[in-house]
Amino acid sequence: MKTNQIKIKNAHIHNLKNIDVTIPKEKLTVITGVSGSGKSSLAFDTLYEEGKRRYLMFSDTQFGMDSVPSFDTITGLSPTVAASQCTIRQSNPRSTVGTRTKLSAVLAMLFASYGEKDPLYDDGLPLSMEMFQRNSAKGMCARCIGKGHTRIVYEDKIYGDMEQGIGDILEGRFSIISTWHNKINDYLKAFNLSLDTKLKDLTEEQFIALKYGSPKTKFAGVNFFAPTESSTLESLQNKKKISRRQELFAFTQAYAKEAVCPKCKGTGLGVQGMYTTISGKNITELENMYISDLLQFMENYAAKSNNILAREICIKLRCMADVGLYHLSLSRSVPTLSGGEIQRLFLASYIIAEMNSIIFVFDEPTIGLHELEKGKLISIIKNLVERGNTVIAVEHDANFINNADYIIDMGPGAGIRGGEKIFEGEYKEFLKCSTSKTAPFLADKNRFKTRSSTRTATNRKLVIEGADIHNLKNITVSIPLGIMAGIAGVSGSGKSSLVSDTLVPKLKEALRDKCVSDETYNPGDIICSARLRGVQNIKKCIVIDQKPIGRSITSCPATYTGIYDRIRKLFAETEIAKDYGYSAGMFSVNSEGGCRVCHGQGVINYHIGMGNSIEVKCEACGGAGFLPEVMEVELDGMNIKDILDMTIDEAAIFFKDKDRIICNILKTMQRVGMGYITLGQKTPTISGGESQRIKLAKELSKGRNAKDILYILDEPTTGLSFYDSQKLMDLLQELVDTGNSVIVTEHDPYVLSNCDYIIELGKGGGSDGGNVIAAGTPEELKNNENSIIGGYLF
Amino acid sequence: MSINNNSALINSLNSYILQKHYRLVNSVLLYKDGRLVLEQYYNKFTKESRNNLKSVWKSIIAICAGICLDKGFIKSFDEPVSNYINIFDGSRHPYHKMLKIKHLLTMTSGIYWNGGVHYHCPMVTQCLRSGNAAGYISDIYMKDLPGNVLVYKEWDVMLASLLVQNASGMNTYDFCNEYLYKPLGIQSGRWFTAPDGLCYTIPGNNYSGMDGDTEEAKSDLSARDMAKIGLLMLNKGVYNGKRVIPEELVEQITTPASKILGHETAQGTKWLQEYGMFWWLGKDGYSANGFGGQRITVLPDKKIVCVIQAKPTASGKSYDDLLQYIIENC
Repeated sequence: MKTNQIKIKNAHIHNLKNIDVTIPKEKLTVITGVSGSGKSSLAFDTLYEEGKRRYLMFSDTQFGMDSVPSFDTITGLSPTVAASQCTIRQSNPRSTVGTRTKLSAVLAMLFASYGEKDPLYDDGLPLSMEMFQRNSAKGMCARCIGKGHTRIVYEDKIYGDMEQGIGDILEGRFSIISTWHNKINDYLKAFNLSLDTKLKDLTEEQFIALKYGSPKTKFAGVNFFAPTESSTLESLQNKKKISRRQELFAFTQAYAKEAVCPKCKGTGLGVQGMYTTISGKNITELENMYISDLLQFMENYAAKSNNILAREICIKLRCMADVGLYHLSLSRSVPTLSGGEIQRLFLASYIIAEMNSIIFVFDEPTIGLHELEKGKLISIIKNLVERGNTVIAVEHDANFINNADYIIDMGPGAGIRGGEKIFEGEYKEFLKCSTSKTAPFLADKNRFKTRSSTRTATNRKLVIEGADIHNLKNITVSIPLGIMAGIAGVSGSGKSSLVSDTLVPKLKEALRDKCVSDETYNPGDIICSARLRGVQNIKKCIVIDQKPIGRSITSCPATYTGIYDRIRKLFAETEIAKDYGYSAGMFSVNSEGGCRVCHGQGVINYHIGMGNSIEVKCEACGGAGFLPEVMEVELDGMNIKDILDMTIDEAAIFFKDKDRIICNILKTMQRVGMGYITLGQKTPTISGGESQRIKLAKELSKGRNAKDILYILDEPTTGLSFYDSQKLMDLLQELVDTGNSVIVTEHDPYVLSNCDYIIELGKGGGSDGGNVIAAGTPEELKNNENSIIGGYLF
Repeated sequence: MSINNNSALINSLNSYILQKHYRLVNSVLLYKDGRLVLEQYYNKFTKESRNNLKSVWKSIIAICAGICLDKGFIKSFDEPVSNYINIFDGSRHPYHKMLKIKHLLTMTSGIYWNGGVHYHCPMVTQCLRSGNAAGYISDIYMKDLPGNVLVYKEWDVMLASLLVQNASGMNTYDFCNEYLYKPLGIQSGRWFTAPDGLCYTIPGNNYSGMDGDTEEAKSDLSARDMAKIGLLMLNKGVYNGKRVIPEELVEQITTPASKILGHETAQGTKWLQEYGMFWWLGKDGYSANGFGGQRITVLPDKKIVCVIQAKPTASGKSYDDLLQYIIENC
């Protein structure tokens, strides 16, 4: 039976309330709705998962099953691929844009076949592709094994004085590196020494063991712990209480450094790889170019040489440029990409494959794109549809929704208050839908609240002079304080270079632990030549990025915000817990309370061959992750698992009158629009935008009456519906009204229209960017013909 | 010496090899109490045929290093490597200062090795192409402190070969020929010497474009010549009544330096074996092993020397069971 529709009957995964949906094939369908209303549950967890499962089962490449079916029937499915923004799975630091897209491999092939060898290093033997790949043993630099940098320890500085005792080395100078403490005693015991033993009294073996460690002791050696400039700084940031003297000491005293590998000059390649060129450039130079520049370079080369490989490379590069990735380079490491960039990276490879009858599922494909670039992306996606594919996108962007053939609106609220289908049909009909929370914003642009008046800037400001990192063209930027400032510009225009790579490191340098951020310190940034003035105008700086909350897979909003510690304490204080002698640790899956069989995961992975595995609910704990006896302890009729399954909204009611601090944090979470998320939601399933708002809530709940704080946010409304965006903006405005400053990096015209002052970078991306093209109030930008964003502002 | 006097043994050996499909085995030799009690050739091999040494060469280099010590070319195995290979003076890496000759011979130099137990390491290709093996190896990342961790790798034997050469002032092959092969009456072609002077026979096809297999083939030995090395070891340095190497050297080479997780056997299991100085140590004796089943096994208590030669291919085995079978049935 040929069908032109995908029919889902009775979908009920997560909060979906037994809904039936019909999606037309070979059309662009957009699923809208407020955050947490069940858009992703429908698109990804139901449609994509089932489409993938059926295809893989049919082709015998995988056999898997769900323990609980999440729908009754789905008909009309064809092979389904999805591009989501899940960044946590892309954490291999060796994975780059080049390796991900296989372009590095094709480039390597090009160099191996057509590269010109430097006569000095030409041994007359043929080149092979591996010689241009730093991850291959045939190509990597032997000195740094492909890393491009080596660690150099200043031994003279540490051991120069043979009169000093062992303790003098460690106690005095390495005091900020705490990790050696436990191990040094092991060393002293193994060789029967004391901290007072002088270096000159050590035997050769003892001295070597002190420097480099020995199998006789667990101590890895002083050299291993010798702090580099960056590690001293990093440890300072983790520790709050440190004396001023120690602090100064740490800055001036570094005993090791991560230096560019002297052998390969940072390329990570052997001599054959380093000294073979194409049109005068070696592979590392090409990999460090912006995609836009590289495209031009390769096009010239392809035209000149008429090389098929080069033309293949051009096709791929052009696709990447078309989806708005021209500002990346092939050497850019994948974990540093934003969720939107990763998604578009996948999208670029789909465009090349000339296929039809595929179902594509996208998660907010326009994220991180300038208005100008959105238009291009929309036409690319429409092109996919024209070729006979079906595209289903979860999207909040008005322009994108406008272009959809078919719309499904979910709602009405979030979490348990959502999960219903509000509307299904064509765009024109949708505008008339009165029950939708999205439609009114589309129908009437005036529904967007923009501030009638902008605040006048005070004379306090931060001035960045001579910013020249990456593509910034030695610019001077003045950011007024006491207001909401927006940094705009197309992708790759230098927004992140200005804020994350110049302003934030400089603020860290000046404010030390008064600058709160998850970012680990990068020593390269501190020596960037830009200067920052006006730091005295702020007391504290809080950087809120989109990196995942917590590092472990069991991290969740409850653990990150600190609520969990208090909840465990409440449980430990119950009569029944006291009777059994359960401590707070009993109520954590990571501690004593975790199920021994599944280690607190709730599920067990069975490998079924060919690299595939199926997830089966843990029989021992019934999927709870906790020991059964822990589950017997109840707090007002709820056990620990029940509480972790509560949404923030539900928990706020539950904990009312129980714990003031928990309530306070929960209330702030609600205010940033996170009321729908559950307390125990696992980190991998939390989007970048959600992480950012959870972090914001954590910071906001700390000090309510704080003043003179600078908040730095990166696209705070990512993934939020119009309705939720408005709520978040109200909150940020409130912050400014109480005497703080906010800097947002943003593309969304709605957010920018609400800023008091906008700095626009451009005008293009990559080498075309890096200049300030316009600055002023939104009104001023609208009338500024240099401004690109001005025309899109409300 | 009586040869082939035990037809029952030969018949059972032949049927064993047939039954196990050991088609690559070329020669099987067994000396007991100084007498050749078994000599069987397959695949048109004869007692004159020479077969690839592969890593048995490493064990020969250990003996050469020992002769260097005996003749006074080096003072002690505890000497720093940099005394003979200057580039290891610590200027490239502080660990080099601690690198001693004995670390090379026991595979504990600590130099990073990317590859398995054999020499198919892609880094070796890079090294040989660099045209300066010592320079290349001294550049390699130092993974462990010298003397601490045993990793079976080519770097150590390449450096040992270079060291013999630099210490004696002779090409390593000339040295070996003069002090070991001639006294034993061994016939061998000249070893491959790289343009930078490094004598290194094992590269095989690692020398792309240099026809490595042909180069390597020159180092081939006949089964009887391989057995001579085993007999020399069994008799604690004496061959045909003449002392060739000191007794202490045999002792030193076959004293366990460390344990190693060895090759994967045909059965897919890994075994733990002790390692001396480029010689493998077992429960009852020691052996010089090479890729594809080459081996000289010496069992001092039973006064046995057993030699197996086989065509070294990827499907080659270590023939542990064959060895066991021969020893039990002799």
